[in-house]
Amino acid sequence: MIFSILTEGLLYGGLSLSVYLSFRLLNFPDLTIDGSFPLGAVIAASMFASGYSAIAIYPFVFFAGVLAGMITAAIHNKFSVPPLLAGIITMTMLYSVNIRILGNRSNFPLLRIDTAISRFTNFVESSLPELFQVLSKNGIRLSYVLFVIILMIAVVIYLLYTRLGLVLRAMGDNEKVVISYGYSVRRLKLVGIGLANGIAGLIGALVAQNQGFADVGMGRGVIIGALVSVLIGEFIFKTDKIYFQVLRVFIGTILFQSILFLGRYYGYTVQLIPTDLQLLVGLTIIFLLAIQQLRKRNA
Amino acid sequence: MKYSFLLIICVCIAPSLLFANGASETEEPEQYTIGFSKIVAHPALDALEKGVQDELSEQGVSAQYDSQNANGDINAAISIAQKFSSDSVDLAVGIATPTAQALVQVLEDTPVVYTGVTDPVAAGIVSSYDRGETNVTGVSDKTPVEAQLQLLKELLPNMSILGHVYTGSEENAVLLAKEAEAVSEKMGLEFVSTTVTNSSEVRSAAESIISRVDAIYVSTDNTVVSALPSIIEVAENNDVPILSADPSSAKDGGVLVAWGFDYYKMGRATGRIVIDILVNGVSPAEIPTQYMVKPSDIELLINTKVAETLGITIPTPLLNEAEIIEK
Repeated sequence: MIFSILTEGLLYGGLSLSVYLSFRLLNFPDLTIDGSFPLGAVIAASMFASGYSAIAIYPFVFFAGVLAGMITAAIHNKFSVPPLLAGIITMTMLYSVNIRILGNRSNFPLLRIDTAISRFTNFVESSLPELFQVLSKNGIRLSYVLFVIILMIAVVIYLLYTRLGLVLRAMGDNEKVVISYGYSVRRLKLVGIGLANGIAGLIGALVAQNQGFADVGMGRGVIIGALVSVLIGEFIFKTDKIYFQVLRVFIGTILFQSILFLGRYYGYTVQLIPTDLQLLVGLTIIFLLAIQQLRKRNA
Repeated sequence: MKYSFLLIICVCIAPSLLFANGASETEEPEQYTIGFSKIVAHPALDALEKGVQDELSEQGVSAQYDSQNANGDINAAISIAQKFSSDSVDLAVGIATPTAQALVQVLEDTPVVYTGVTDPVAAGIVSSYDRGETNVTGVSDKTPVEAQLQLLKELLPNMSILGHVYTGSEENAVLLAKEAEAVSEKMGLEFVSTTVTNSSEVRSAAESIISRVDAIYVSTDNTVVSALPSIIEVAENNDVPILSADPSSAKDGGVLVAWGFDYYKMGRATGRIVIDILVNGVSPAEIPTQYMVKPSDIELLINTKVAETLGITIPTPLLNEAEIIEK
C-alpha cells in the first residue's frame, strides 16, 4: 500500500507542480490543466496503441501540453481575457479535441496494450526475478515513476535557475519590474503557462499507464487536489529557496494522498461514508487557510 | 510548527503499521469480504449495488461489504483498486466502466465482477463476449434490441416495416440504431429510420416516416425519450403502435409495450454471478458476458388501452408477466 501511495503522490505531485508554477510562481490562476492533463493521457493512449515507444510519446505529449498552455496565454494576451476565463475556454475546447483524438470515444483502455510501464515491469520480471520478488509489481511501477519524476524535477529546477527562470519568477512578483528591464511579459506568460501545461500533459501520459485507461473526464477535480497539496506543502515547510519549494510540492501531495487514503481506509470507524471524502478535502483546505491567516497575524 | 510536522509524519506512517496489524487478523471462514468500486453516486448505480447485496443476503451468503465511491473523480478509481488489493478482498465488483477498468488493472488474481458496463470488450475489460478472463466476468447493460424486436413481432405478426427515430450525434443511439437495423434485416423486416439533432425535431421526424411504417421502435436514446410525447401523438393519429426500451417514461401511457431492464434487477443478476464464483467455485473464465434478456431480469409494461384501440390481442402468458398500464 505504501508503494501505491508514493506512486500516486509522485504522479499527482507533478500536477501540483504544474499548479504551483502557474498559480504561485507566475501568479496566473490557470485552469487549463483540466484539459491538458487528459490531453496527455489520450495522446499517449492512442500512441501506445499504435505501437510508439515512450521516447517518442513523452516529448510529444509534453509539447501538446505546452501548446494547450500557450493557447490559454495567447487568449489572455490578445483579448485581455482574465486568466481564469482564458483557461476555461481552452479546457472546454480540449474536451472536444480529446474525444477526437480517441476516435470519437470518451474512454480508451490500455489494459491489454503494451505501455512503457508494463514493458518495464515485464522486463524486470523476466531479467531480474530476484529484484521483482523484493519489490513486487507496485514497487517496480514506483521505481519507474520515480525515475521519470526525478528527471522532470531536475529539469524544472534547472530551468528555474536559468536567466529565463529568474525572469519568470520576477514576473510573478512584479510585472512592472520585468517590463522595465525590457522583457515582454506576454512572451514570458506564453513560456511559463506552456511549461506548466507541458508538465500536466506528461503526467497525463504516466497516469493513463498507471490506471490502465485514458478517459476524457480525467481532468475533473484534479485542480482542487493539486491546490490542497500545494497548501499542505507550504503549511509544513516555510522556505524561500526555489528548489525546496518545488520539492515540498511533492511532499505536500504525498501527504494529501495519505490523508485521502486514511479517509478511505479508516473513515468507517468514525462513521464517514465514501462520499464524505470531498467534504474532508474542503475542510482540510479551510483548516490550512485558517492556520496561514493566524500565522500572518502573529508574524 | 515542530508539532504539526511530527503529527503529519505520524499520520503518514500510521497506515502502514495499522495495515500490518490488519493483515494478521484471523477471519471467520465463511465470511466473504467484497469490495464495491462505484464511479459516482447515481440512482441507477446505487440500485445496482443494492441489488447485488440483496441477492447475496437473500441467498444466505454472509459477506462484509467495503463500498467505495470515486465521487466522479476518475483518478480515484485506481486508489480504490489498490485498497482492495492490499485488503485482499475475496472479490471486487466494479460498477461502471472506469472503476471496472481500474480493478482489472490492479487485481491480478482476485475475481473481478463488472456491472453497468455497456461494452466490456471495447472497454478492454474482457477480450471476448463469449467467455470471461481468468479472474474477470460480469454483466453488460446493453439494451437487448433483438429480444425487444422479437417481442414486438410476436405481438404484431403482420408487421413488415419498422420505423425508428434516433439522434445522430448520440453515440449510444447510433449504435442501437445500427443494431436495430441489423436485427430487422435478420427478421425479414424493412427498416425505415430518420435522425434528429435535438428534441424539437422529433415530431416532424416521426411525421415524415409514420405513413410508411407498421410500428415505431424507440431505443434508450436520451433525446428521443425526452420527446416521447410528440412521437406518441403522431403515432396515435396514425394508429401505429410504439415499442419503447424505456419503461419509466412509458408509464404515462400511449406506448403499446415498453421493455427494458431496471438497474436493481441487474444488480440481482450480478449478485448471482458473485455467488457462483465465491460459493459454487465457478471460474470467472467459464462465465461469458451476461446481458439482461431473461424475462425475470426485465421490466415489461403493456398498455391494454392502447392495445384495445389498435385492435391488438396480447397473449395471456405475456399479460401475466407484465405490469399493466391502462391510460
